[in-house]
Amino acid sequence: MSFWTIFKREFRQYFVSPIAYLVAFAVLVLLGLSFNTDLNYRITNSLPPNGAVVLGNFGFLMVFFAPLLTMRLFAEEMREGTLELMMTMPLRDVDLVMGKFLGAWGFYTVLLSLTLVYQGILLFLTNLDPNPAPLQTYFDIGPVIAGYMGLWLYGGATIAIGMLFSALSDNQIVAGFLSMSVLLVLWAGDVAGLVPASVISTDVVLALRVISLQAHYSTSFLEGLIALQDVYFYIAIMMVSLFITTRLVESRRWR
Amino acid sequence: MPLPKHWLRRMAVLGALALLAALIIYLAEDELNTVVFVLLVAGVVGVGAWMLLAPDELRDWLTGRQVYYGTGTAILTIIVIGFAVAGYSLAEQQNLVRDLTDAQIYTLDKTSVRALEQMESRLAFGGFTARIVGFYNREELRERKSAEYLLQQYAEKSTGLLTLEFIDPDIEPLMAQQFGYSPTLDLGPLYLVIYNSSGNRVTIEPIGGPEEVLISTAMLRISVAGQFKVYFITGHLEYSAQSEAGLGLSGVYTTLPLVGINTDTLDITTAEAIPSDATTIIIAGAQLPYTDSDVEKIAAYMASGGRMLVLADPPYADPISMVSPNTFMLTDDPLNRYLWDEFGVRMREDLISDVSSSIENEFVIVPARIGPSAIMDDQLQSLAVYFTLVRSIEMADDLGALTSTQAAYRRDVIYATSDDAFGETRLRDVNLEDEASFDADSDTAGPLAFAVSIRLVNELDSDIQPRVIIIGDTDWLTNDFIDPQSGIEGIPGNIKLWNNTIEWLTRYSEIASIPAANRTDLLPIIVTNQEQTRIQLITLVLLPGAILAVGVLVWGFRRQA
Repeated sequence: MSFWTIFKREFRQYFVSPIAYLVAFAVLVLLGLSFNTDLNYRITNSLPPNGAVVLGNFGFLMVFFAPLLTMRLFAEEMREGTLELMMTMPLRDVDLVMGKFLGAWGFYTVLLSLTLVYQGILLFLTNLDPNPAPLQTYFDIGPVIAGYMGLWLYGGATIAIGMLFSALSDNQIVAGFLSMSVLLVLWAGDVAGLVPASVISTDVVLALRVISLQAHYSTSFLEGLIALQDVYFYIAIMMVSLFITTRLVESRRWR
Repeated sequence: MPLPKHWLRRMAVLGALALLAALIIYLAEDELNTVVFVLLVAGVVGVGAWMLLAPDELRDWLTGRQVYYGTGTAILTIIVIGFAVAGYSLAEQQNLVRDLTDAQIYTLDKTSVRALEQMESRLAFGGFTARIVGFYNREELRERKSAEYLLQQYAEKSTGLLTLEFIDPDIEPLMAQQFGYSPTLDLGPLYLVIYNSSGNRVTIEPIGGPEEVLISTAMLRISVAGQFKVYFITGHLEYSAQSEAGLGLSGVYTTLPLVGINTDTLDITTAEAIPSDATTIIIAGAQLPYTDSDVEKIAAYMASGGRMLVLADPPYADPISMVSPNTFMLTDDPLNRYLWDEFGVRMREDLISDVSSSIENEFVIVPARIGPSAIMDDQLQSLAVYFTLVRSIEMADDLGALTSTQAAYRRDVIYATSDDAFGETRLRDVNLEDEASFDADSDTAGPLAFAVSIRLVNELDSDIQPRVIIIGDTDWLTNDFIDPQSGIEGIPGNIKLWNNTIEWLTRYSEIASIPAANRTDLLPIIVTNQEQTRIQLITLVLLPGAILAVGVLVWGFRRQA
């Protein structure tokens, strides 16, 4: 049994699980509202199109939806006792963790690709030629490409964090709540400076910004920039979270 | 009665958490404050009570496999996190950034790199260094991060003479005051500071916001400081250069230094000559004729390659206000004669009436014809420029025979009127309230040129390159038309005409102007109501509905199975 088997099982699991469809439905309804609101605002105020707006909102939604996708991954297995069963199989802990992670990330990728519909609509309404014909709007695709890349990495990081909390508790609700809280703090770290200095010092604000998920996304990827430090940040978050998750799973052998 | 062991265990866990919280807060705040002290005491009491009252548990814990494996795992985790943090630090130092925007708005343009090189070569000569200082408080850390992507590129392209510094104006208000920074003034957070070899500040150049064009222009201003100087000529009741009134010229006089062009006034009646540092002289709406002596000074200046902008209003006296008639540039005026003899242009004694291309009344003119002059560009061509009470310009080319001196120059019409226009010469009879009537015997029929640029035919081959722009109106340049500070929104066309005029005369753009990043002007999105309804149907009903339907089907199949 390899990580590939686990990946296929987990990936398939999402497509037979009503919760995954409900998550996808809720995400698409909320993003649809966001897209139409923004489009209407731009039409009313004679503004150019911006495909990155809906991506920014998707990032925020992942704070709430990533835990819904990951909370069952280990918590359910632990509650039902199947995790112990799996640990008796010829399977390395790291394969188990990576398989589950890639399964969740794969489903997230499918969900993310559904949002290409919005970009397709904007492309249909506009033009990729920087020198458009009169009355035809130009659509700068660069920030959209960078935004998707960033959002894909960002989603991987939120899923990895969600998995970590799923491995911490055998209660799905607790796991989901904890990961949601942590993701919210990591998201809001970008705007921690708005909290008065009497509450948190500037050093803490700076530290929060460094570990903030949003800070590595909103000022770079969404603006059309791919910065090595931001790419590395999300990969590092994934690696560290997956490493700790593996150690947590492994700890069941000696606890 | 001893405490139950499970209580002691909980106290130990809480104590450990308190110690951890104390450590984090201490590291963040960098002081042993009350909160840290209370947490420290609580932690010591909690952990200490467990250690003292349950020594057997402590012994078992220390020698148990949980500690054995747990310690190893914790150390390994700390090492992994340490590597991750070190890697991030390295990645941050590399500052490798790929700009995917079509206009490359986060990538330094060649002209920006040249501006930086130009500034640094000048700094290196005197042993100076430069620093871009940004004022961002803790609430603006996002904006600071955004700016850093661009500023870092300047620092990286620098030979080491340019550094970056960010200052929190709330923490260092005195420093902000020294720079003249105030968030309420909306002047932008960036400054370019020049230090001498002793480390003392010698220049603080405001940049504005974190935009490439502003940063590079500030660098060029440092490079070209003192190279450009424009004199506003006085002595013949010209429009006041410093006046902030609607008919003053303070809007242009005070803003030129902001782009590195110094300004001054010069009384030509008392000056011995036009100063040698004059890049351009401006004669703006004189009311009295220039003397032969004045013209000799101007001729000497132009002969050495001078640049001149002449603005002249019609010799018209308002019959209501009874102001003395303007006698500047009448036919026998020495300056008018000089312009004709040397450059082949002269002002007519008329007032243009153009019913086909005017607003409000026939005397407020919008150019009907735009000539292919050197100062014209696509943007200026697309903007409306307004002129009030305009006189026409006669060109030697229209008469056919050119003298050898006149033939050496090329005259390009910048603006002309429509065919329906004419130059009213019976100025004593004109009433602005009434419609002027064309008299074929005395008036000049349109189209009439009223703005002309002049330069040598073989300018590129000549060491001396005089340039002249002559316009039959002064009002277009006054604060009422140009300067938003006067309370009236500046007219974009007039502002653009001024910018192009001064750039062409001083050749400032060739030396010290940075073109903005070539970002395509993004047009607004246009969607019909029908399209919008379809989009709403697709994105709000069809797409989520399809996902929900598949989910229901899957759920149904699973229940059946």
